[in-house]
Amino acid sequence: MAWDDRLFRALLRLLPEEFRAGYARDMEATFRTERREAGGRRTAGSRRRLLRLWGTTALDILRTAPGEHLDVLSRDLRFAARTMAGRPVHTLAAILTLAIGIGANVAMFSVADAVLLAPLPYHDPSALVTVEETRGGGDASTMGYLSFVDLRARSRSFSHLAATGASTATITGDGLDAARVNAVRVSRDYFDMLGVAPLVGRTFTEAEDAPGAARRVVVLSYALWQRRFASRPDVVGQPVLIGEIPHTVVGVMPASFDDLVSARLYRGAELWYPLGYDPAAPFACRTCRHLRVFGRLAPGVSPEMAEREISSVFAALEQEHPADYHEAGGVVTPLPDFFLGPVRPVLFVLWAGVGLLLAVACSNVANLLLLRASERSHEVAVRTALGVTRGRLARQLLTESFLLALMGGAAGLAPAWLAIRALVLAGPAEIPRLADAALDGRAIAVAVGVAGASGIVFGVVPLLQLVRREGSQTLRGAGRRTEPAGTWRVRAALVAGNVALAALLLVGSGLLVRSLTTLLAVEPGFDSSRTLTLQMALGGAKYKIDSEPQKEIATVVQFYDEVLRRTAALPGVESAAATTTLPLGGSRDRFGLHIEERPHANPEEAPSADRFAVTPGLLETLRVPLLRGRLIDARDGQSAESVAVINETLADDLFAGEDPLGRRVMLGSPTAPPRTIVGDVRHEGLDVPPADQVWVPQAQWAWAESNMTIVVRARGDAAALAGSVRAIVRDLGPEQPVTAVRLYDDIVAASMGTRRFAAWLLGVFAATALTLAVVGLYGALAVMVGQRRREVGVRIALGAGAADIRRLVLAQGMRPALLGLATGLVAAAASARVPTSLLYGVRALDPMTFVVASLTLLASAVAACLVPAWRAAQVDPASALRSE
Amino acid sequence: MTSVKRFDPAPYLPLTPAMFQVLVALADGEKHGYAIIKEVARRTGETVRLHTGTLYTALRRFVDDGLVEESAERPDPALDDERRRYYRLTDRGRAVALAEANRLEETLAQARAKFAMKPRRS
Repeated sequence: MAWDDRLFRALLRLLPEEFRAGYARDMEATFRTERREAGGRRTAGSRRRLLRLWGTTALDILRTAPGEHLDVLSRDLRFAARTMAGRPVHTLAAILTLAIGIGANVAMFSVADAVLLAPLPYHDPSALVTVEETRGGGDASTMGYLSFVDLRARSRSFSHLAATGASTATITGDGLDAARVNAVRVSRDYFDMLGVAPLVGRTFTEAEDAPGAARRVVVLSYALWQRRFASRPDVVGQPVLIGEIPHTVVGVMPASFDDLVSARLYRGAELWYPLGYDPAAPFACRTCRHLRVFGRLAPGVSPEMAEREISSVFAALEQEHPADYHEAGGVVTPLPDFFLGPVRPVLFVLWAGVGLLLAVACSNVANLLLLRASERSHEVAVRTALGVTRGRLARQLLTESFLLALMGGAAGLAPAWLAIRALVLAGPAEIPRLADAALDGRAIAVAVGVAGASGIVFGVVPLLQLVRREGSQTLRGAGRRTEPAGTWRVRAALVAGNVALAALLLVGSGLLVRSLTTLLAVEPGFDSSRTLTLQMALGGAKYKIDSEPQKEIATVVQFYDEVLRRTAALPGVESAAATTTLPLGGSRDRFGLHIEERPHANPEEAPSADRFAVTPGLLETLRVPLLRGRLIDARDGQSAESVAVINETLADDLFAGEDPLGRRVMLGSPTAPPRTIVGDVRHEGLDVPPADQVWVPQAQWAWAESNMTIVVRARGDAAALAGSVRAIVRDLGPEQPVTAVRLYDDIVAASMGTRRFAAWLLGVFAATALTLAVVGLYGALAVMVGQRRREVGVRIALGAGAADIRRLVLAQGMRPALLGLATGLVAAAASARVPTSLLYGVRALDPMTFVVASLTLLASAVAACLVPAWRAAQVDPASALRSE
Repeated sequence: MTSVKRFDPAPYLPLTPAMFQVLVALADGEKHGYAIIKEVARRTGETVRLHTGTLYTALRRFVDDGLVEESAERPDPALDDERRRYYRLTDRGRAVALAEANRLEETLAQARAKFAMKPRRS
């Protein structure tokens, strides 16, 4: 063949096969004549004409080919729709199965998109990092103010360094009820570091990030500006009373500003103050490590480079202030890792779960289509005999698969939307930006992509079966309703695959559930049942007496004493007390602990303990068991001997084998007033190694602890007491708001929120996969029994009993199920490395979990096989032989 | 008595200019593809030049819709190229072509009236 004929033939391949079958030869003849008429390549003129002919013809074919392909697609889609409409039950089953798999994947993508994939809503978020201090080679954590100041002055790795600290604000005096809002203290360039500009006004200046009256300025969140200030355009410069102290509004942040730092660390912020620390203030010390520091890397500086520099700065500081540091170093972590580090494993496990679920769904649909393919084998044989090529058949069958997949995907959007709403509402607070998950354009694009990929996956199996067979063989066998042996092997392989995937999911969810139940069974050392908690932050001139700290303590203590006295007198109240922090409440106050008779050469080498400043009766209210000594009571007033109660862990750590009672310890600094240990309690936490804990009377603390959580143990329904306690507080201090009213059980449950979330979701996936696998097994076996009715009839006619037939069918069904189970268990064991951080108290190869998952699967598989086995045993041999 | 359903060409209108030219080319008898191309080029003074892609996609649609059919008659084998197919108009095809011609005539008359044009003398 001449090269120009070959070239034209290659050009024609742009057109659909069906079209070429009818017109290619004619087109070749026509084009050859046109080339001859153009004059060939003899002269320059004829060569030009020829070239022009080639060009226009090629462009013409390029232009018309897509239309032809669309025509073919349109015909195939109409045919597919007719075919599916002819088998409505079949089609509906396939669509619903796919809707589950695709819908789950779309929902999970939406969550992952919002949480993991969406960039942080700041300018160049890749340059944002957290900066933490390490001590004694231990965990990285918060920093003291003076350390932060030195770091900012000496480091060259950052264009901005900012510190943040928790705070609260009680807004009063504006004609509305006193309202406590979450607030954060930030150093002057916090907003510049994030790269966000205020909507109106400005952020803080250097002069305002200093002690004194200059720091009485605030920046408002958009929501607070709308809610409390009616979105007044002239709000900048307006005064606002916070804790009855006048402040000035200097700026309002835009609605789009998402302070993820505050959300992650401080339960969100609606108001920002300048840090404004006095370097000479006690809480500004290097060892008062309570500030979170963040930075923006300078151009060209990597987190590793910054970390090396920070560590060298800390090393220098340790040389200069040896009493304040101990093996100090720095850790620089990209901000996304800081936010997402704890939740990434959870989301990846869940995403893998929905992927497996989709695989099960596709496998089930493939089995359905295999049945359909068997029924259409005669039709395919006839068409093949009439000249339809296998390529054309394959294209048509794949079009049907795609249409089915797209319908499944469309059907999956509604459950996906519902699932996203449910996940947003029920998801744990630890997962940042979960509320941003939505069924948006990207999620719909993913639905289309997943549907398309699924269409290929489940369409290929029956396609290969259908087009591989010889047409003549199928024509000959068309009268019989039997499938070739190979089809059952394919079905069995699909069933085995489903069972393996279901086993994998069952083991995974079983491990998470075991972790959760193990965690729940841990004795936390307190009783959170029937207990109501209410947070308060006393503010205002009456309770903030900077010039007379002892009077301030007395006034605050008196207020809480009166609130608790009245609360305890309420009907239905068993006891009431207050504490600065709640066990498992999400925040910790850590202080260095120094033993009087065992001073450290370097005080920084002393251990730290969680400190709880409490009113008398708190430990009794929480039912923390006393091991020896006594608990804090009414004797432990402001002027009495300073005392402390420690937990068993601290007693073992510091006084192993010795009686701690009567020993004296100092909290915070070795020069703090010593406290006599009067009690030893058992109090652990869930999920983390038990921490050293010390309980001190609120009245005996170095400063007034005005932010307290009231704890009320009820005889009956604790929630019903909320109104009465609020009324008491309102009566004693109308300008003192009560916030965060929650049942203690809910707080404890929320502390395990992520685990519970993951276990519940994976359990749902596993249950769904198991259901689909069982349905798939039942369906495959039912088809097999139907196909082999004649054989069964012959066996019964030859003397086989019902039990023999049932055994035969059971064996047929259980073989792929057992193979699948074995494969699934091996895969589960092989993937045991995958997030063990989610496991608690249970090994990744926990035998009990594997056994329970196996038994569940086996029982389900047997149940799936029973009905087809029973039906097979009921076959009437006479009618079975006659029907053939 | 059987009722004959009257053929309505309206669903096939309007035709693209190329498709209309193909039907007109077949009006006076059956032709193969190359002959259609030549006929259209000659009749339109080379202003309409059909290429193989446009021609055969149009023929495919006409054949599928029953407006054109393949002719079984072949010329003398000495003059024939066995790869060629010969096409002719069916009655439906003729009706569609006439309907399109009427549509174009009406459109032209409206335009002439609007622009107060005199009919061009041919």
